[in-house]
Amino acid sequence: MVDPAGLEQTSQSQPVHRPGPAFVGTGGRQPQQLADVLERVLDKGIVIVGDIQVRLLDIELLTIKVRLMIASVDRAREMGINWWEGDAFVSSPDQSRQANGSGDDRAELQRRIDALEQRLAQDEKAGEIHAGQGEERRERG
Amino acid sequence: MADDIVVHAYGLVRSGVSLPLPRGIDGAAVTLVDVGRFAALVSELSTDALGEEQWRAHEEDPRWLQHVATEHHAVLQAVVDQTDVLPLRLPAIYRDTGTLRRVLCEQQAELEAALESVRGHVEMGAKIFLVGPSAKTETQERPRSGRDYLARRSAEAATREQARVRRQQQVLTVHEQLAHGSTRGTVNQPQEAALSGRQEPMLLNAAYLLARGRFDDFVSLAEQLNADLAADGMALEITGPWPPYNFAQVPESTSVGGA
Repeated sequence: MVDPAGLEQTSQSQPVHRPGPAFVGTGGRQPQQLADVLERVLDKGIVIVGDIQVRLLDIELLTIKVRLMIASVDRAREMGINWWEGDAFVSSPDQSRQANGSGDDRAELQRRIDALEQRLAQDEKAGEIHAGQGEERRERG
Repeated sequence: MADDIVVHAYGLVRSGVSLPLPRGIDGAAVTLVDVGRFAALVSELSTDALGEEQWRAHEEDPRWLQHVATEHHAVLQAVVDQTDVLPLRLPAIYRDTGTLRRVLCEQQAELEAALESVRGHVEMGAKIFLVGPSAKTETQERPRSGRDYLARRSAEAATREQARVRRQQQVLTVHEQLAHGSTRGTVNQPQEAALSGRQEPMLLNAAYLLARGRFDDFVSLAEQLNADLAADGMALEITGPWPPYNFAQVPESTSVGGA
């Protein structure tokens, strides 16, 4: 429920790998860490400049974005990373699910906004009454 | 019609190697573009799928990039399990095979040297994580005075610093030994927690160019080093064999314009 759209499917095809003591990958048959793949594929390898050039900016930020997309959102939150909740790249594909996903926080905020608006409305009414009384007094004086 | 196609290149292999070619990105066929002593592994893809405009539109789109990167890597991984390969960095797209052939010919000598420098080799990855509790002083009784408190604080700081220096030396030693057991080694920036997906701090993020025949030795060396590190709350993890991404470079000794 807390996963933004489609994350569960993605993490099934690329299971989060919990490594053993020393040896993680075996002959490329075990799933490799996505972060390791991205680090290599986007930032290493030989560059053969051709007729089409597209330069990717900020590989680190990019890989973090991808990593976050597939990481458990809860685990990222534990690490204090939550900026993607306001990030269009990650949260745009399915806004409604995303909105439900962080539902608790949002509902609480909405409740507090409603309460504040009600109080504001009451204060305004009260203010009008006070002002009205003041004018009455002035008229008499 | 030709305008609708873009050539995506995965990497280079030596000419004349016979290998079953895997399927490429989005299931596309992978073919070889032969240039003298080496050949490029390529797929012809629709520009709608992977053309220049798609790359520009998606250059910050994690989902799209993950897909392309994973499939690009899968081809290279399948190939490196059979023969030596020189991986290309993404994006590696060309208007047509003629163009690709031309740029490969222009750099033929350098690329041959680069492919030769990884002959018979694969890449291994190694990371060290700080997994255990960092050495803490355990005195819990209240300090008797302000002076006592300050003395204790400075002793604690000294202990922490000693532990840090000690760990740093151990990490360096591990890197030296792994590099000694392989042909070349390189150290990359440790990954942030958001990237590694781990809360434990990463102390080493390194890659080694390893002769295929030394694989078992490398694994036993890593296991032994990991056992040594465990006593100090650290863990060594190795991955591979990878295509030699970190070592896909033109060797510096190769003179430019040697073609």
